[in-house]
Amino acid sequence: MPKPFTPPLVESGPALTADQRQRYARHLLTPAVGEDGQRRLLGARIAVLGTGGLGSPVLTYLAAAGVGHLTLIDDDVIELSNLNRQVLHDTASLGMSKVDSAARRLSALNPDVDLTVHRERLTDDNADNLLAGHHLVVDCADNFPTRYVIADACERLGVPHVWAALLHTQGQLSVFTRRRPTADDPDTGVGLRDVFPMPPGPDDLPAGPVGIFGPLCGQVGSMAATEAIKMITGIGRPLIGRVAFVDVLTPSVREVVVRPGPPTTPGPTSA
Amino acid sequence: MATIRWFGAAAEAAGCDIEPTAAATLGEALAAARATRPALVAVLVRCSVLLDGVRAADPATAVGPGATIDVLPPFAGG
Repeated sequence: MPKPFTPPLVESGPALTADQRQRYARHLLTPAVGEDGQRRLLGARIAVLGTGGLGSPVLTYLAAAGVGHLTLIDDDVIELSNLNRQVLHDTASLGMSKVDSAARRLSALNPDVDLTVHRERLTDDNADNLLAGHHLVVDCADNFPTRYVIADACERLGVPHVWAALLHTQGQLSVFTRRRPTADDPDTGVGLRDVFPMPPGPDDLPAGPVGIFGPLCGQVGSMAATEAIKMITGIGRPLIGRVAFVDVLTPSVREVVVRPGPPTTPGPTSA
Repeated sequence: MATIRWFGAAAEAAGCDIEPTAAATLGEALAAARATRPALVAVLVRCSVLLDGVRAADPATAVGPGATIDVLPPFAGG
């Protein structure tokens, strides 16, 4: 087994039960994961912001993989226009809270997973409280203000976060590890503000909802779930210091290297 | 010679994903692109520009031979 590119975020947990050996058999047979990786996943606590287009594949794969605790945060309810891409939800759930709909599906998928749901919008005021205590955060939000709330909170808390964002038939994905420097740890890592220092102003944004090609959510969401599993288990080379730019029409994945940029001063970002 | 890599709406406005530039500064490189492809004017306002991986906003920033300028539009959809 090659040396981990980054150390795993989670210690290896207790031995697997007989049921768990069956449920996760195909991961146990995958050398990159194996029993050690599976035991780390079962001990992981991950918060996922957004339970829509990206959140659907991310949560499905993380729950199926046996991530021990998932926290779901979203204040939206399910609308008909969501269902071209938000595959955790269905027509019978129209009008229902997305986190409740998602929790129902995820519980049925894997009862090993403990779920916490927050039917509220993440803001500068509640972010630290909601995100603290997690090993990792996955940003599947659908708006700029929330994405900067997540990035700034993760930096304050020292929690790495997987960031994925979509437009039409293209997506961007990275793993941000920016944190406040200390005397013992002067390396601040790379964060969202090193790529995009500020959210765009209202005049720079399209009016109304933007289009998102349904299968793009599955492709980029699956990549985000993969990055989360890599960070938890310490396998592979996570997308730290790199942004993957995905174009499903080409199809292609181009990589942009990102290094720490000039300091930025986070301001209030909540909607 | 340096390289400009365009992404998303910037690539659409530029009409290509990648092109060489002989400009000495970031400002000259982007101004030359805007002059030949006016659609870039509106797009560049909202894009992030990275020079060899580091966010660069100062037009006077020197662009060395072999440098890479990446121009990325912000996405927020999920």
